[in-house]
Amino acid sequence: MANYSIWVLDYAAVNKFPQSVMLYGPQYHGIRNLPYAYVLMKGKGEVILVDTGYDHKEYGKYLADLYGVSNFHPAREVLAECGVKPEDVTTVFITHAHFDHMGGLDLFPNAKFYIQKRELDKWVWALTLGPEFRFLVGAADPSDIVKAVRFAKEGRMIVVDGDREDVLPGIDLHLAADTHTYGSMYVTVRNDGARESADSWILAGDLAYTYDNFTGLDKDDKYLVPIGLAVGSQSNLLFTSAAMVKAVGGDHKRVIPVHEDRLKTMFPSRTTTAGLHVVELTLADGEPSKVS
Amino acid sequence: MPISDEAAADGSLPEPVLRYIIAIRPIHDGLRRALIHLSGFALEQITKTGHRFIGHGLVESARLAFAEISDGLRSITVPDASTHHMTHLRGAATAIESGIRTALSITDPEGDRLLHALEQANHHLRAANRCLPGTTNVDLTQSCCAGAASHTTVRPTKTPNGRRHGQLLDLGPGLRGSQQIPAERDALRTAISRHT
Repeated sequence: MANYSIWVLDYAAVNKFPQSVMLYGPQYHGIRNLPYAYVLMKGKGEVILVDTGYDHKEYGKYLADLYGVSNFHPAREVLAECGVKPEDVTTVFITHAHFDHMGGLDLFPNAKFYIQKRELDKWVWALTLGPEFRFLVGAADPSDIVKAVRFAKEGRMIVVDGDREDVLPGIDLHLAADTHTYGSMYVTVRNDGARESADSWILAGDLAYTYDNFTGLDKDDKYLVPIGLAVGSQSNLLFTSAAMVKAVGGDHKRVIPVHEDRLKTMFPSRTTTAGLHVVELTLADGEPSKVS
Repeated sequence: MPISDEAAADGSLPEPVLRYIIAIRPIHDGLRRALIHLSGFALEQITKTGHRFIGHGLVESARLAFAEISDGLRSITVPDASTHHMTHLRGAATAIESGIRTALSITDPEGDRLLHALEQANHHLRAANRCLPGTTNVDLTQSCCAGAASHTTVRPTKTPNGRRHGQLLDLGPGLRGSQQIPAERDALRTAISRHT
């Protein structure tokens, strides 16, 4: 029995991304393709997103010109690959407050949003520190906070303080404090609904960029390697990685780093006419495949 | 009329506009910080969860950030090509000032007026970013997923007649340095002074 279908949907990519940002250490080991993606889940009467993508109107040209972000497609087009409209989305879990994960809040008019209180609080705090601490607030957009105020007022922005079990049936939220960001969050889906699940998936946000974060690059000498960018600590990132892998019974392939380019070869997938990818992690009972 | 990034990138921005860009960066940054503080205050009020890190100083922080730049905003010299930008900057300032007053009053229990002020300020700051290179609401220079490029803000170059001038190479949002580091700002000033 599986309660939720889960897909990872590309919406843009950076074709030449430094490996050293994805994986701390290999400073001269070249580049990789870095997809920008969000996760779509359907089941139990819910249409759920993990993260929203970014506001292309505001930053698209800049990102394309300077950072080589290419092939952006809007959520309406991307979600349609799975027969979903933005208006259908009922719940969005925001893993962290960076522009490419939180920048599309207003695209989903009927959704409730969940974000960690610590993520919002400490970002505001970091901005009080002054320009010399600009590193701490990089990639965060004040516009998203203003939107969060509106949605909070409408009762659509749920501020979560720490871990929360069964935020939806079989779905748990976990705070990963002082890691990639101050209040990063990962999402556990216990897809059989059991407390001690044998069918768990974890949507990791940016707590991992690649499966190599769980194994390192040496297949004969595996160990955890943190991502290359944290405002918290590398220790916290490592302990979070260990906790995530443990929670899926040691099968690290069930911890999903959405920026991992190899997802499309590790799971059933298809390439859309736009050159994006639909990666199908699992299907709920009765749900037809979107990749076959 | 908005000045394009291309005009900035090929060094064709007029000197008064370059000076204006330098002058408005701290002003833009102050407005942005005030907007953040007020937004944090509004979130605290609406979610009623208290603010673990800042206590009740958010409105005061907004007021101080605004106070730091209000004189500069009034006194800045605005070249003709930048009047539209300044209209938005002043619009943002008016909204933030209103937001601070509202946040300190007891006449807005539901937070409607404060939210309106926040949205107005946000609208004007974003509009300002679009019509003139040099400022941004979001700093992408150190961001993770966009961290694929090396950055150079200013590269003094020689024109065909041998004169050096400041060339703004990257005036996109990532280096629209509302919190631009002093070294870059100094380099920009130096480059402009060489030009003059």
